[in-house]
Amino acid sequence: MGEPMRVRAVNNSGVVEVKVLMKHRMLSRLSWSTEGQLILPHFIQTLRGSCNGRPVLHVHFGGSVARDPYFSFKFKGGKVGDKVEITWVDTEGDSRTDTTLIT
Amino acid sequence: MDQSRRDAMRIASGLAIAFSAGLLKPSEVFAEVTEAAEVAWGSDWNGAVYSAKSLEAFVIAMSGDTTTPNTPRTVTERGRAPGLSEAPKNQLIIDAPELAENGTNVPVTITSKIPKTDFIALLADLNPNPVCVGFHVLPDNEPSYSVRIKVAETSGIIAVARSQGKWYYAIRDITVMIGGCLG
Repeated sequence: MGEPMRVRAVNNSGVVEVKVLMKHRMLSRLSWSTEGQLILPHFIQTLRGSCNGRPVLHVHFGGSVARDPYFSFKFKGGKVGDKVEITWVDTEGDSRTDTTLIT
Repeated sequence: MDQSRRDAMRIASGLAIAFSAGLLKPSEVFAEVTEAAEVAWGSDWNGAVYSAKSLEAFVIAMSGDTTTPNTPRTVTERGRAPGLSEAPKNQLIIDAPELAENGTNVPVTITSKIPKTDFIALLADLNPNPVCVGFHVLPDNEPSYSVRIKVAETSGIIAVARSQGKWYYAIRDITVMIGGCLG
């Protein structure tokens, strides 16, 4: 399990803006530790979001997204009180899901 | 506690009776099911696409062509990929700081005003791994998003949008004081 992310969804006259702040080291390429051990790339590959079970976000990340990534997007058709669920999956198959209510 | 399962069983048995009595054709029922879940996810994460070394290689990889070598771009090749052209002015907007003090964390906002945009990607031209984000525009989405990316050196940030099978790109140059690809 990854560390919890912060999700915020705000309804602004019919359009819901969702801001997601994930916690992830987002290593983009092979590197070596000071002990000479190989460190594999480790970053979030897929970020999905749904609103009451309906898909509202599908985005893929490459290696060049900043550490502890921030992502914000907008969708139509959400109401105050609807449940927004965000899930990420990284290169090691680790994942994390967090939910929030639209305010 | 087991109510939902019981309901499902009841519905299933009811359907079985309906099928056997010839009241319902299976195709009709399944048509309804697919309609209810009509919003589909985009394609899966594809290593060939997200390890592309240039804008052109990215567009070629997205088309499913695996025979073209994945090479860093040369200036003369800019924009030379099938179906790729420069976006009309103010149709593909990149909002990023002109001067980024720290390349490890550069906020970028992309907005597409091209009609029927179904995919928007973001690349940092001279990064070792240029492809940053690939955004599937689902039916309810507005074709716009914000993200923070790493930028290795002073170069262009490229937005690419796909609309009806055609690709459009826009470039915005930014200056980076401290490069951001150590991680």
